[in-house]
Amino acid sequence: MGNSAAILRVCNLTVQFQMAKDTVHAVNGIDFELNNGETLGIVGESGSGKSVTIKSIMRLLPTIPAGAIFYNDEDLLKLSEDRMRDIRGKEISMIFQNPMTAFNPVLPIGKQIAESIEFHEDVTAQERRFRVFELLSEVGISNPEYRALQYPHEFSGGMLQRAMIASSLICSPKIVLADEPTTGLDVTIQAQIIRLIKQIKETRQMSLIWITHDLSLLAGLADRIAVMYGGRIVEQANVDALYERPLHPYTQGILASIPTLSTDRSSLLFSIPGLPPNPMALPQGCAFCERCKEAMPICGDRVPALKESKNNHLVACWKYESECGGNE
Amino acid sequence: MIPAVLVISFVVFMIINLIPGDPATNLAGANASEAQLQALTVKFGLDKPLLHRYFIWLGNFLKGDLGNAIISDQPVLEMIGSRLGATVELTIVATIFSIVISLPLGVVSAMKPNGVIDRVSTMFSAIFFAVPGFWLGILLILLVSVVLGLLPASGRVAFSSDPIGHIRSIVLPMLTISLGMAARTIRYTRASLMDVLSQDYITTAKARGVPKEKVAYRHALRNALIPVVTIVGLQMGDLFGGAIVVEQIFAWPGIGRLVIQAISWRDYNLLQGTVLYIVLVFMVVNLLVDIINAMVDPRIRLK
Amino acid sequence: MADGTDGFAVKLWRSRSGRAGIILCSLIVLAAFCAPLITLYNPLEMGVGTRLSGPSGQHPMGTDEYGRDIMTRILYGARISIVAGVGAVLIASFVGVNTGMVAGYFGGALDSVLMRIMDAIISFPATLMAIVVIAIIGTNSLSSILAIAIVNIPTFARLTRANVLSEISKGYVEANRALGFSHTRIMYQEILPNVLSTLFVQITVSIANAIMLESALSFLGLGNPPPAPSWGSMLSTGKDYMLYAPTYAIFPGLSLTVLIVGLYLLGDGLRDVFDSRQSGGR
Repeated sequence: MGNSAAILRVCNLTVQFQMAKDTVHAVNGIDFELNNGETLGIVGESGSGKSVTIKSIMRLLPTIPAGAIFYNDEDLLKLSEDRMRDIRGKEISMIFQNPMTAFNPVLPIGKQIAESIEFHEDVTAQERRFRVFELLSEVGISNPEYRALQYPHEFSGGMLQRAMIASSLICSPKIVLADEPTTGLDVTIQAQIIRLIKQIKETRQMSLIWITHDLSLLAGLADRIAVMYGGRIVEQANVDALYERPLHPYTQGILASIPTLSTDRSSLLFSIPGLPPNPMALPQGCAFCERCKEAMPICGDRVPALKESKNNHLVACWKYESECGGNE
Repeated sequence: MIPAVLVISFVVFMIINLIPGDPATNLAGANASEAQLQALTVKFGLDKPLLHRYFIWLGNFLKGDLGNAIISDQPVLEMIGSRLGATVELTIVATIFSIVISLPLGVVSAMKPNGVIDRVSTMFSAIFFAVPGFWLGILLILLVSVVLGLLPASGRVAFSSDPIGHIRSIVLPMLTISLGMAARTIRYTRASLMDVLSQDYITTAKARGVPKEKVAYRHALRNALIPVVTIVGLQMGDLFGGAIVVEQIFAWPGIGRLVIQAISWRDYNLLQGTVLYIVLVFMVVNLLVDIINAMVDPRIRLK
Repeated sequence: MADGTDGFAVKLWRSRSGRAGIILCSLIVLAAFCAPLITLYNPLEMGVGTRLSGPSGQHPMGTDEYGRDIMTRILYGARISIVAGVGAVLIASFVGVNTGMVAGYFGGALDSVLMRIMDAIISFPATLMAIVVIAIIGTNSLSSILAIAIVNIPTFARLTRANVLSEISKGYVEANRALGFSHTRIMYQEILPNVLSTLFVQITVSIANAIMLESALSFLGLGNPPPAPSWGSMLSTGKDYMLYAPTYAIFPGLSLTVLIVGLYLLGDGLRDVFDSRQSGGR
């Protein structure tokens, strides 16, 4: 079963890291799709496995994960390194979280941005430079001919993130993976960058995966949202459905902890009690069980599967077992 | 630069003239008469006040004349020049050899930590870090010259007269210096490269589709080598002044040996000249290292 | 059980390098100071055995050119190295830390002048500087200590000054001034404790370097005058007699290496302890 407009299909992705004595279970068998032209938001706390997931798509991890990731009928996890290199930066690209450290401090920005072209297209240096200037303008950096010769430390955080975005777009990729692109920035700059990315996505008709720990950010941005916890997807729905009727207790908890204009000022902000699970020692059953108000005995025993509750709204929770009914 | 040179020349002059004893007394010997001593003193200008002597010396230095060595009456500049070749060639050969060994080892160690090469080179580095250079030299002489009889124990054969002999005579002193340098360079290279490889920009470059070799060279190595260049440069600056102890062990006729000789002869002129040379060379090399750093690392340029 | 409240010594012991370093250094220090208990010979007594004989039952490390027992001389020589190294570094750190503290704290002209002096010292290669100083003050048992101390002062001055500047930028110094604390109190009771960790690591490294420099100097004949059993001079003589007694030169060098390795390990161990403290324990 799969949406024919799916440009990316992740199937049973499992990522484990071997440390000295323990195994880190970063991602534990997740499935999701990215449809052509949509923005998929992935929400989760640190340690939930979201960052590892998109790094797996680009195969930027030290080991090749288990499972399959289909991009246009090719399984990215089975491709040769050469073929993968063709795809990186050209068909699928990434925007990194911390622009200050994501650029090489001793090379000019323009040169770094042009690297994707340099290694993917057979184009003269002059043409490369021209495209870099074009793109820098597109992302809102004025005086691009001058700026392109400058070094990362001469840019502000917001400017650098724009440069990072330029770097990810220069070969006109079909899919852009954004790993918390606004987390390290000031709030006002955040808003600018979000607007910029939205605008670019419209103009270029790309598909976008946006990773964040801040659910409120995705409200005006994403088409669909997947919520990750403990290395698994616990809920997946269209953005409106998720906000209006969150099913999983974790999602409900996150939404409840976002202060709104109408929040009662005199009371304490709500927060989910407890701590996120240790990826080196995941519990036997549902990872959220310890912190869940509605935990049942079965929750501690077995991991609930991600099942469709209603219209494209999937949830992995024993509470809805009867509603979901049947197999996927 | 100029003020620094002036200050240094002043400091050097003053310090050396603090050394007890003087060339006149030394040369005159224990049995000289008062008159002979007085004559020598005047001859070497030692009767003039200290500051006056400094300015005379400085004036001459700026004209390119460092005076004559008291012991041999040869121009100091000439004596330094004749020994310079030996020191410089030892420095360069030792540095090149140590880089040739240590860079590849350091790089491989960083890229495959805890692998065979890493463990071997860490052990090598730990050993040669702690072993005092002069003991190493002696052990090498013991093993290679005395026991195995393969190479000469001391002395330098000029390249022009006997190329093979020259090479044979330089091997042991070179090894004594290089092995210690290599130990340090391996450590620094490994640490620096490991640090660089863990940086975010390496992942970013890979995500752009840059091939592994280009990532390694353009992003990783270049950045990692910056601090290594500094370390090697500073060590070279030190060596250009003559590896005093090594030259002594191997009777290598370089600047280091000249300094020791000048001290024992209380030859002020010679000593002033040689120490000035050593300090200036040190300073110039440090400056060059700073310049190279600024050229390679744009973050430093603004300063 | 590493709950962060373990004592400093315990942490040091737990670090592998620290443990090795402590053991090695203690062994040598013990050997040096218990020398009379270990060996029956007098280090200066000549003719206790045939001259230049190799290792044997009676003389485990052989005898030197005057028929003195080498092992005894090595043991007593350890005292010279240790005292020189530790002494020089104690002086250097005392002078250097105070200099750097004052320079960094007060800044301005005082800072410039003090640091220029440090620069002047550093512009001479270490060995050369020590040689020139000894040439000036003469060759005796204390002169090498003084010379080595002078050579090491700038290291401590610069390190302390850099740390002081960084501590000042953290703001609590300003706060203390506002509270009316005296300069002395701020410098030595507030700033100094925070700087100690880097200082201790530097001290071990500097002691190792000082011991190496001392033996280099006595190798050149500039250290303790004979017949003192300094390792450096033993190495020098050993080299001269290499053809007759090949093992002569091996032992002083070996002892030096062992001591230096011990000190470096100790330094690594200290670094482990202080790093773990900074990252909040295991």
